[in-house]
Amino acid sequence: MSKRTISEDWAATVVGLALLVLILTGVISQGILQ
Amino acid sequence: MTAVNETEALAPAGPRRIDWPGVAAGVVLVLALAYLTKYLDKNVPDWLAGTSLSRVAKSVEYPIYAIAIGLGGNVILTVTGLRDRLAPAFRTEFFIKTGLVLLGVSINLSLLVTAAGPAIVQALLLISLVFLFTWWLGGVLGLDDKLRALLASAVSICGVSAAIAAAGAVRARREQLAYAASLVILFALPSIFLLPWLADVFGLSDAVAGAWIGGNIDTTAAVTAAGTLAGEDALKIATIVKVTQNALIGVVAVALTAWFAFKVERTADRPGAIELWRRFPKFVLGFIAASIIGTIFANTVSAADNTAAQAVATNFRTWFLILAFVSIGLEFRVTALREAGWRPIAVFASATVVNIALALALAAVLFANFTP
Repeated sequence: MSKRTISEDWAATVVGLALLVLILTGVISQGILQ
Repeated sequence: MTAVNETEALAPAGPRRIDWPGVAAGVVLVLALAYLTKYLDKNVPDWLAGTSLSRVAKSVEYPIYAIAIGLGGNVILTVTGLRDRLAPAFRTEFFIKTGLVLLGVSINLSLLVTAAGPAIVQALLLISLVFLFTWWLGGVLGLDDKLRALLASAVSICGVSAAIAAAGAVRARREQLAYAASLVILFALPSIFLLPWLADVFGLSDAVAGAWIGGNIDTTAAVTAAGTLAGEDALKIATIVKVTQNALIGVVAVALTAWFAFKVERTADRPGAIELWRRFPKFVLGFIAASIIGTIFANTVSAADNTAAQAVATNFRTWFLILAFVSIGLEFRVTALREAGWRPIAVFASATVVNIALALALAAVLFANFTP
């Protein structure tokens, strides 16, 4: 197991929270292919 | 920080050089299959309206399309010999955890807090009893101690992630990890369909059904798929229960590290708080943060604005879950299972039956009067 592998836990947390911030602030106001 | 996903756990060991064209092709494939899933989910009921299959078409939801399409893609990639090149793009763990962080925004903090109590009690009892049963049965059938630890962790906590954590703790061989991971997925796939159906047959409430699904099914992705089939309220409870189990991976991994270090291998390595933090699944923090943010947002803006924002978050969550379910189908491997013989399968199957019965009993008691 490589020590330099990016943590998918942190990646998921950052991407998920960043998306939420963009959605809740209205920057992203529509979903994709509803 | 070390992270290994299911693809790496299941893949044969080999030199790690990134094949960027292969990764790019894998990403395109996963996105294309996710789009196909969404397209079928939206259009099949219309195509079959007025036919004898109309009711079936309406009851089939996107997790079923996604997993079936992923398994179909898996067969094609295996036949064409392309799977190992494209596999690094099948990031089930990343997709499911991002989807769960996004799910957190729709779970009110008060629900999270009130469900956390019974979820913790359920997780502690279930993990202890199922782990000890699996460890005992593995011993009776003469399994290697490291494989016993892997199987016991996988079936009692949360599947592949727990097996990976346990493998690190007991220094298991890569083939043993691949084998345990394959068993987890082999047993999780039918559970995705079986448990929501049984919950309906038994007439379980959403809370009990969710707690049963979250407590019993091993992989987090499969819990989410089954919870989705059981309904939105059941999905929320299933997720809280599963996230609670996820949070306990670190504790079990550290306990196993200590046990193997002192009792089995008799070394002096002493696992500490740093090890506990290293093995703690960090997405749990993202899930809780999203719930707090969502609760504050709901109390700050108008109901209409909150509903609109939640709809967009749900849309993104669904896309990440589709990507995860497609990836589950794509990364399933049977080769590791052929090599280990019947005894580990017998241990895992017996432990799964015990897990199903215990999880149902605990869910029925602990979530009897719970309203999501």
